[in-house]
Amino acid sequence: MNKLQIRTALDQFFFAPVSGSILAFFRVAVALFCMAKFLSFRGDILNMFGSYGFVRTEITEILLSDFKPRLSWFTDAGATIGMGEVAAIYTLYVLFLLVLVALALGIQSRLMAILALFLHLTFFNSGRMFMYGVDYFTTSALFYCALFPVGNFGTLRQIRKRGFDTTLTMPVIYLRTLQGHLCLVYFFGGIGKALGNHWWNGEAIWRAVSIPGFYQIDMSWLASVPWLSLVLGVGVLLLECGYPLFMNIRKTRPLFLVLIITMHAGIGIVMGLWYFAILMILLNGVGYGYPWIIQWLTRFTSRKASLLTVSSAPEKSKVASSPQ
Amino acid sequence: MKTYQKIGWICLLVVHLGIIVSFNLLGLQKYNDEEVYNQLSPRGQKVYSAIQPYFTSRIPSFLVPYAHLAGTDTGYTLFSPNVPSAMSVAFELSNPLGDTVAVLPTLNTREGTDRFYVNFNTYKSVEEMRTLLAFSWGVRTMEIYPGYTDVAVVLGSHRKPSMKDYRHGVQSHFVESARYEFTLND
Repeated sequence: MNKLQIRTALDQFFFAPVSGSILAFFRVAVALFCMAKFLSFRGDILNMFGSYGFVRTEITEILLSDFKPRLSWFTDAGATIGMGEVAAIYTLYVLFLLVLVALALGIQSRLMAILALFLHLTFFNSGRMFMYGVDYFTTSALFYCALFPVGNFGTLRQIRKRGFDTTLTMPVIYLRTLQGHLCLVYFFGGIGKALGNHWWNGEAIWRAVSIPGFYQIDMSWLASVPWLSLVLGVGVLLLECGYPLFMNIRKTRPLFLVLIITMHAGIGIVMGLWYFAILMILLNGVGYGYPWIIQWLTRFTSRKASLLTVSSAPEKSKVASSPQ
Repeated sequence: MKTYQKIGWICLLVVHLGIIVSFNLLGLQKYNDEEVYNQLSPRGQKVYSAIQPYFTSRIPSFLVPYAHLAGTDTGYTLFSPNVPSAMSVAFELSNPLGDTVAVLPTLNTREGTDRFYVNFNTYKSVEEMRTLLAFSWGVRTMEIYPGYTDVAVVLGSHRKPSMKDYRHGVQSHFVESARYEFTLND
């Protein structure tokens, strides 16, 4: 391989054109996911984020660096104009939901993505003690919405003008960034587990399915089929440690993608961590399943377009055959 | 895309992924703690001892805000090296008449209740904050159940038997690990 060939191969790997419709899908899906997640604990806003919630603001803020956005910036500012803490928190909450609606519709996408990221971090930091993996991944997803040109594809304005155009392209590097992130997530997750012994003897699965708080269905029968826990435990190790390799080999990718999605769906069903499961499936789908999503989007939009053509055809003929 | 844009993107990609790697290597430093190290398998201990010298011990401070913004200021080592015993909390409320009631954390939504258990991550990792956290939970619980003047915050973990022990009839049991008592002043 000479220099030119290497350069061409690298250029192809990082900057080959792919349909930008995948970024439209990502933008809408992330915005809807965030809305669903925040709506799911709407009844606990004050319990989680209020200064007199389960964790007092002064306790939460002990662990926060000065630069990290937090609700007290706004509640203190609101107090100077006579706005109470509850009103300030709910105002920000509603504003966040409105920003997410605008992001989903593609109205000022970059600005909305930056605002959504900032507001998400504000709630995230103020309710720090209640936040876990899914919230870190949501921050990353919103960060990618702010970084990638998600507003160039499938916005409301574009759709109203010329329909959903799946032929517009973008360089694949945006997806490579997400792919790299996912590879590291699974690889380090797998390595950390592989150093212990619970994942090698099946005890990890046995313990994970019965954690109080995440307990969904009675899985005590697993004790009588210990080989199943062992297979599942070693399977998780293989999936996570092997992710960077097997997801990047074209032939093994579909199988690995299905297995990863199955693993996350299993976590959702057995542990009730549905938001975590949905977000990970979404990120994997966009990162590695994008050719299939693009195909589906293209088929969906062309079918919709042909339906519109068919339904508008009688209208035209009606006009043409009218006595006028 | 112009060439300079391409170079810029590749540089950003390298820095971005480099930060993720750094935070994860930093996260793996926790395996150095005796308590965690002892949970590693004998082979795991050997591997860890061999690779540990190459781990990051600190992240340059100027990268921290970026990592926070990107949601990458974390390691991805949930449920590792092992799945820990699950912590739990109960509140024993009592009034001067001697009425006592025991309650679990009461939040209004399923998601909120699930997320309450995340509190234990901080409780376990930051020893100095334990009393403060217990106080905060206790006070909120007294606000939800008015009329009580004393609260005992009882913490412990559910010890799950191994599959083999479970087959021999051993059941999971709750082991109390800490108790904090607070009284409402007039």
